[in-house]
Amino acid sequence: MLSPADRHRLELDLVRLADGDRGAFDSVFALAWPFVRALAARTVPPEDAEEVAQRTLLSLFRRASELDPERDAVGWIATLAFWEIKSERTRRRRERARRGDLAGLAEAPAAEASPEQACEQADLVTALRELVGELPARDVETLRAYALGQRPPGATYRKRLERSLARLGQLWRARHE
Amino acid sequence: MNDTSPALVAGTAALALRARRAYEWGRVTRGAGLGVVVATLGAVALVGCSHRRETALVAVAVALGVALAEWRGLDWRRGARAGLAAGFAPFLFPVAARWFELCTVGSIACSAAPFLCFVGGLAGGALLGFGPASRPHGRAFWASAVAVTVSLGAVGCLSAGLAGLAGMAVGLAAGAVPAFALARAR
Repeated sequence: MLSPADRHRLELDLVRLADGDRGAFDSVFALAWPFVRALAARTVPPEDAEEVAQRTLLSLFRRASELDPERDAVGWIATLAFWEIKSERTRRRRERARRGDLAGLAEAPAAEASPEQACEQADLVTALRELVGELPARDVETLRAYALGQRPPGATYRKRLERSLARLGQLWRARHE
Repeated sequence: MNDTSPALVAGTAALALRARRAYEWGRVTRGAGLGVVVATLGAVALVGCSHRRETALVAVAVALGVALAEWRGLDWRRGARAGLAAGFAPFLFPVAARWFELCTVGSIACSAAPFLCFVGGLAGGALLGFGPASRPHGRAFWASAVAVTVSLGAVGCLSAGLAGLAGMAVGLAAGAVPAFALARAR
C-alpha cells in the first residue's frame, strides 16, 4: 500500500509532526490518507470504509504528538486503524445481532489480533459471508441458530446442523481448494 | 469520479481542515495535561509556605507557560522540558525541607532555607549546563529552558523570601556557567 520511499517519508514527517513541526502536516496528510483509506477498504464493508478511514485519520492527527520517535510510525498508524476497525465491527455485530442477522455474527471479533491478522480475518469473513448467502434458507436458519446459541435440544437439530455444516464445507472446498 | 474532481478536492480539503483541528486539539490537551502536573507541583509548594499569593501566581504562570510551550512544540517544547528537569531541584529542596519540618518555625523560614535554594540552584544549573548545552540549540530553546527553570525554582524558593531567590539565582549561575564553559571548550 505504501512504497518503501513513501513509508520512509511518512515516518520522518510523522516524527516532525509529533515534535510540533506544522510544516510536516500536508505531507503526512497526503501520505497517510490513502494508506488508511486502503486499509479500511480491505477490512470493512465498502459502505463503512470511508467513515472508518476518516475516524482513523482524525485519531492519528489528534494523537500525533504522542508518537514515540523510536517506534515504527506506520505500524502505529496501522494499530490506530485496527482499533477503529475493531470498534466499527463490534458496533455492526451488535447491531446485526439485535436484528438476528447471521451475516453480522459472521464478523467475529479479532481478539488480540495484529492489524495484518485482522486484514486476513476480514478476507476470510467476507468469503464465508458469500458462501452462507448461497446456502438454502433452511441451512442459513440452522447456522444462525447455532451462531446465536439458540440450539433446540434433540438429535434432529444436531443432524440438521451437521448437514448444514457439511454443505458449507463442500461449497468452501469447491470454491477455495 | 477522478482524483481531481471538484467534489473530491473539496471533500479532501474539508477533511484536511478537520485533521488540522484534531492535531491542534491533541496538542492543546497534551499541553493542558502537563500544565496540570506543574500546577499540582505549585499546589504542593503552597503547603506551609509563607508567601502563598506570590508563589501561587508564579506557579500559575509556569503552568501556563509550560502548557503553551508543549502546544507550540519544537524548541519551545524541548526547552520547557529541559527547564522542568533543571528547575525541579531548586523547587524540591526547600519544599521538601518544609514538608519534613527541617526548616521552618511556624511559617517563618529558617536561615538554612536560602542555602537549600542555593544547593538546588547549583544542581539545576549543572543539569541545564551539562545536559542540553552539550548539543546546539536555538534561542527559543534557551529562552524557554531558562524561563521555566527559574520560575519553577522560584515556586519552591519564594517561601524563603528574597534571600531564597538570590540563593537560587547564584546557585543556578554557579552550576550552569562552568558546565557551559566546558561544553563550549569541547
